[in-house]
Formats: sequence, C-alpha cells, structure tokens
Amino acid sequence: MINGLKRLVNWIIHTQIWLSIFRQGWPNTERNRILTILNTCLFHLHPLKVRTSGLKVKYTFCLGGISMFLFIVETITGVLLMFYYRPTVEYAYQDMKDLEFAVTFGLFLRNMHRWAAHGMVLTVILHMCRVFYTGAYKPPREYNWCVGVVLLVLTLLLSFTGYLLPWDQLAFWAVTVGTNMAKATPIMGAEGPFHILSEMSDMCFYLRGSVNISENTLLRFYVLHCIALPLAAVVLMSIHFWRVRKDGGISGPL
Amino acid sequence: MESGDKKLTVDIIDKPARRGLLLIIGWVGFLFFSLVAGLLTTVDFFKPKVIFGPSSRFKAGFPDEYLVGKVSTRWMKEKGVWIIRTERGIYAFLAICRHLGCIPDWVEEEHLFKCPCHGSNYNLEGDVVGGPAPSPLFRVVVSYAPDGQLVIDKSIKEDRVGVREKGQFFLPV
Repeated sequence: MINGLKRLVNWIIHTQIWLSIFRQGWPNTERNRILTILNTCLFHLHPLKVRTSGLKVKYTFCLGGISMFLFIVETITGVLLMFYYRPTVEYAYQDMKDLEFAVTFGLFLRNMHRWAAHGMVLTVILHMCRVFYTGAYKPPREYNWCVGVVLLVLTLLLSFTGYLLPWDQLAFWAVTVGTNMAKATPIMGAEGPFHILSEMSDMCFYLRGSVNISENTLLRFYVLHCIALPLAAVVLMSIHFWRVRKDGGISGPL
Repeated sequence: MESGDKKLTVDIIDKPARRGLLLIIGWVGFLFFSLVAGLLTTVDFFKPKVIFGPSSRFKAGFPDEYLVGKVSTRWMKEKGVWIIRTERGIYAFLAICRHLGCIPDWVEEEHLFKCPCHGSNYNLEGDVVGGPAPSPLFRVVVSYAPDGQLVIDKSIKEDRVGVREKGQFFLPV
C-alpha cells in the first residue's frame, strides 16, 4: 500500500506535465530549496530566506501581510459584485439593492467588500506607523517607503471612488463634497488661490466629467475603482514586496 | 565584420561636433514635442466635449404666481433655484451651498437657508450668518419672456455685494 503510493507519487513527479511546471526536484536539499524560490513567480517576490526575528509577530504585527490579504479579499468580492452591478444612473442603486436582497450571498459579499475596505485603510495606516516606529524607512529602504506612500494614497483613492458606486444619498453627497474640495486647489481649481481655470475646465470638472455629479462621474469612478487603481496597486505592490526582499528582508536591524 | 564594427565606432566618436549637436537638438526637440503633445492630448481626452443635461434656462411662470415677502421652493426639486419676491421685485438664488456644494433647505420658521451637510446658514440676502461657508449664495439672472413669464438663467451667477442686487439679477415688478 505505502509502496504503491510512493510509486504513484514518483510517477507523477516524473511526468512531463509536472516537470514542465516544477523544474527542480523536491525541496529537501538546500540547492533545491533555492531553486524552488528562483523558479516560482510568487516566491520570487518573497524573500529567499526569512530571519527568525522576522517571525516575531509583535515586531511587524503582520500589518503589511494583512493589508495584502484584505486587498485579495477586495479583489475577489469586487469581481463577484461586478457580475450584478451596472454603473448607470438608471440601474446602479437598483442593482445595489438587488445585490442585498435578491443575489445569493449578495449581502454577505457586499458587507465583506465594505468591511475589508475599511480594514485595509486601517491596516495600511497602522503598517506605515509600524515602519516609522521601527525606523524601517531608513536607507536602504527609503525608496520602498516612497512606494508605500503612493500605495497608501491608492488605498484612499480606491475607498473614495468606491464610495460613489451605491448611488444612494450618502454616496451622492459625500462625493459632491469630496470633489468640491478639488475646486479649492491652487491654480488648478476654479475657486482656489491664484485660480486661472473656469468651472468648465478645473480639477473638479475633470474628476466629475461634468459640472455636477452625473452619469459621467459614476462611470469615471467605476472605471477608476475597478480597473485603473487596482492595476496600479498591483504593479506597485509587486515592486514593494520585491524591494522588501532586495533591501534585506522584513524587520530586524540591518 | 570586426573591422567594420570598429569603423562604425570610430565614425560616431569622430563625428564633427556640429553634426552631434544637431543630432542632440533633433532628438531633444522630437522627444519634447511628442511628450508635450502626448500629455496635452491625454489631458484633453479626459475632458468631456459634450455634456448631457437639462438646459440652464427655464420659464418659471408669471410674477403674480409668487407671493410678496415669500421664498418660493416651487422650482427647488426640478431646477435647484429659489425665487424670492419682495415689494420691489424678484430675484433668484442658486440652491448650492458655497461651502462644499450641498443643497441647503429653506427654513420658513427661522427665515434662513440652512445647509444640512456642515451647517452653513444664509439669510434672505444670501449672506452667510453661520457655519463654514466662505461666500454668499449665488444669485442668477431673472428676466421676462415675450409672453410675460419669468425666465431664469442659471449659467450667469453673481455674489458680489453691489452688483448682485441690480441689473439682470433683479427684476423690478
């Protein structure tokens, strides 16, 4: 029985399919372990070796990891929500209500998406605090700190663009207020200091795609929320994780 | 083959300085203009050329339909405008809070326009009497149509004291 199983495993790991995916042998020697890391895309982002100190939960509180996990939750629940949501003035609110009352697990999905979004903003900010307090922004990690700041901004923009999509009173007025602030931008805003642009060509107009919140705004925010911002976040996160590895791995004094 | 490569290298290094300079100017010019053109086109792409929506001019009925000393909320929901008739004439406010763009409510009992978002209050002149709003309510153009009805034009607005109370922003009745 045991021998038969061993023979089966042996046969499987010598088939062409297996060998085309995993080029190195079983990771039971130092060499094969390194090859496993080198030959696997996701492990390539992960550090080759993790320090024992890096395993201490109280040093990093795994805040970056939790942020990443929440981003994955957002992606999965978000894609599922997209199957039942149409970003138009006519349907947006109705589809959101249908998601709550008619779609199987729709309410659960929506709440998960919402709470994970709140959680992500929280963990990303806490992650930034942790990095600051442990001095992990210092050379050679200063570049990665800057990438992290952009990722924080992307997280906030993802939350802001997602805010409009339910198209209810809260969404409408929150985004009215939020985009109105762009009018106060110096030079680029219609009502800001040193303003040179009119109401029809200032920052607020570009954000909304019209003078007031409209169909254009909803579509703009939808595309930003579902395509542009997540893509930018994935690219920057890849650089962020890869740089963690290149700059000497997570946590612990260099 | 190898000697040919060497010749090419020597050529580039020994190229007369003038030709090198022209080459640099050409490339910098080309890159600069393509970058500027690309940037401007991208910015322009995101600016909608046609916006669909209701007209900013509308007929608002006859002056007699508005009571003296009253703020009319008749066109609030549809057009976002308050029409006010005093003993001397008619003027209209744009119902957009000057703080961050919410719609204030007309509160008859207090004779104030009150914004629900952050609590800005405006009096009957449109001046701020409370809350964070930095400027008074906008007044819009009021005129007569040939048939004697009022015409409101929301595209022209004014909030400066001394200008907002006269001319096209105030219609004597």
